[in-house]
Amino acid sequence: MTLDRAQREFLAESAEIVDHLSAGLAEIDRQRKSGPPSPAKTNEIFRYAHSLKGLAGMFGIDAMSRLAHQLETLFDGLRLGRVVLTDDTMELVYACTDLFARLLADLKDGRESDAATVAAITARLATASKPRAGAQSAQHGELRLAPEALAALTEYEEHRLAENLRLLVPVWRVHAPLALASFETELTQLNTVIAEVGEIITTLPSTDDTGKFIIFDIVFATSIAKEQIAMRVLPLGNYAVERVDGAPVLKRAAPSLPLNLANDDDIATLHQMSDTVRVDIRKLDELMGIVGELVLARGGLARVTNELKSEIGYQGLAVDLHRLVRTLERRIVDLQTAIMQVRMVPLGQVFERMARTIRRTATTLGKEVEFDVVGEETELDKLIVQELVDPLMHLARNAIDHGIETPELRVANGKSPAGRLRVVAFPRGNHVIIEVSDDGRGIDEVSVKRTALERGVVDEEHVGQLTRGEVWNLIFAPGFSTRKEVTETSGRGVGLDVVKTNVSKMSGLIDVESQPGRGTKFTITLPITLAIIQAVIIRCAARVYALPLASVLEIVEVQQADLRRIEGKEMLELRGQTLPVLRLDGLFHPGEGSLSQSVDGAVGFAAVVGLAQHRAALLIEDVLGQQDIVIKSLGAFLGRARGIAGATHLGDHETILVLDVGALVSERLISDDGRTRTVAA
Amino acid sequence: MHCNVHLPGGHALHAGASLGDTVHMSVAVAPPYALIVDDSASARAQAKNALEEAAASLGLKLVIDEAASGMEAVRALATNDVCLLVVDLHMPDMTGLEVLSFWRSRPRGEGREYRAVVVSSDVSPRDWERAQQQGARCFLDKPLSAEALATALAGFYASPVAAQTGGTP
Repeated sequence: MTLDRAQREFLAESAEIVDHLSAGLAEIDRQRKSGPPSPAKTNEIFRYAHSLKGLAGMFGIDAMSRLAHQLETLFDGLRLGRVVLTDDTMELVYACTDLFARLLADLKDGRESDAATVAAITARLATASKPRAGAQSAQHGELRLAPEALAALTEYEEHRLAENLRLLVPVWRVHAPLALASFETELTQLNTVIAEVGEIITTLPSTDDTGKFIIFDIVFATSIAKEQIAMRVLPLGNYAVERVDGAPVLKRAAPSLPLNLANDDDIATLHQMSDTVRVDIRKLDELMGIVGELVLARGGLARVTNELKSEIGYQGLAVDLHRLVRTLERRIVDLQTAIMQVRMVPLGQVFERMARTIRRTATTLGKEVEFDVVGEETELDKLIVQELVDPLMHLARNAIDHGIETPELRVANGKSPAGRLRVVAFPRGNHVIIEVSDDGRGIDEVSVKRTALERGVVDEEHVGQLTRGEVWNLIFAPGFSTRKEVTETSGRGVGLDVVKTNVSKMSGLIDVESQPGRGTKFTITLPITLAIIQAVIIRCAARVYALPLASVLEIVEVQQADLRRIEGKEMLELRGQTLPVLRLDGLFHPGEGSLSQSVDGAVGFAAVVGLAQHRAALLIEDVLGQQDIVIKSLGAFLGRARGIAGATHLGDHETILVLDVGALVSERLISDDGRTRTVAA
Repeated sequence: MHCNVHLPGGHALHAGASLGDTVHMSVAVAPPYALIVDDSASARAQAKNALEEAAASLGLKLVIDEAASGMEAVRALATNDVCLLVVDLHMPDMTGLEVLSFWRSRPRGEGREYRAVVVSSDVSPRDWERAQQQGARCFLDKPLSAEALATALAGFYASPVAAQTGGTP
């Protein structure tokens, strides 16, 4: 039986819900071993059953719709406390979930389903859903909540309120006016910190008079003290936290607007608000800048201490100073971490937007895509997350447009009709790695080469010598697009070079790997923040430079014997790999090639630096140390100096230049012969 | 039956025996904005088709937008003048009642009609009563059919008096 598109969509969405359902049930089964299962989970399962019923009804699959309806009824009873979850019921619910999976499989394969089993389980579920004797709908007492808030409570929410009050769990309300521009992120954060310590009962949005905010009243139950609640909520904003149950407490004028909107005559409110303030991200940047300066001052102090130690030995004042410097160091790190924490936002928001884009794109292009996300809780600097939206959307669209095949073609190639698009984010040291992979057709080497030749990205002479990795990297070249026609979704005349440029702007790297017929994986490596970076301080061509640690893969000792000339280009042989050699004097002082002759013959160092798949060896004379630095712009006149990212201070008032590895590597690779010659790792 | 009907967006509808054939646009205004809120993609797609069909059968022009969560709905309601809201009661982040309550708190344009339809495959009488208090005018079963929606829409725009005085759907 061939399925039409709507049926495939139904199957995919239903299968996803059944997966959630069985995961949720396993969780409930685990929880009930040590007490009553969490109401939130029970409600979640109720919703899954509800969605499944809706879907099955929509597609006219009556047996499944009835089964889901009974499961929904059972969980409605459970969540409203009318039914108790026994071992037998749990068994039954598991059997029901298995049956859903089997019904979906039957449907997919065009088999007739076993109607008797479905009827039997449906009937047993109906019996299990019978309310227990003495169960009554709960009534909650007086609550200090606005009538609008009470009116919008569903039966379930009302029941949860009553249950919490019955168990003497205090009920609270957070009143949060969130900026219209960004309320999704803020509300998610607020919900997260509250859900960690309590049960959220309702989130009621309302309109404020200025039109700049959306007011959210979050009502929740928790046993933790008010101070602890405030401490959790405080970092997110100055929101009034009030207990709404029990004896009335002295009502204080709750601030309902952030500081910048308060009237001058609103003095009482201003006093209340001195606990917390909403902060503009630019102010955080400023603060981070000051911490950066502190870091530098500490560097200077450490240097003076070391000099003192070498002069008078480790004794007397030198010991005291040494200890003080260490304490200062720790406090500065704490401060830096604290400020950084404020700037961090989870990637989940971006992934959600991605999911929407993917759905739309897939529908437009008539493809089926399953989207998987791992690591949505991974945090990154807010500014980086903002900048990441476009590149990720582009990669997603690109994967669906060029990577994932049509369902027909996929089936013909022995794949499942729905393509899989997977985004995985995880932290690694001071970096966050985001992988975007699909199981589509992969990158067609021949087609890439042909296009590269047509567009003059590479010439006839070199195209034959490119390795697979080098070919893949051609797709990042400006103006490259393997599609002949411009497609509506991802072919707006911009290619992956824009993605690469954007990622580089954030000091990130992008890599691509592909297996023809099996799929493509893009890997983006990003620093957690741009505010302060770690750098290696090096001496090279008689000058001191800072080399951002993020782009250094390793630093090795080199002998003259390791350097080779291949086709007139200087290359470094390293563990069987050949890397092009970068000499700063050659780049910064063309014509004075003799400046660093000292390296020749003598032992020096090479920093292996990388830009995506491009690697090069930067010859350096000495490694002086490692340090946190704050990059300062060179200003409008010098700002465009090639190979220089900016300047920074060392602790001893010395100003040094920070190398722009990305620019240096591309410069070297292009300057070779006026064509892109890439060298893969 | 012969009455003058105000369509959302200021279109005047002179309704005779049939609603469809006598549509008369008196003012050129942006078509009313409709929002479908449901966390299921299939359900949204289906509701959109049904709504398009229902609107077409009545000669109504609608701009139809979708929201996949309570938060998306709040964003859409805060940035557009949503005149027709089709909402499911059960969603992960907010309930349909909360979305309805927010929609009611929005400032409303004069002379415009605001209508909400609650779509759910199962709603307890108590929650349906609450939804009505929050301004829902009609309750439809899932799956949503174009015919049922068309009947509801015709009801909305044919009985402005009943709507203003809070009559039953």
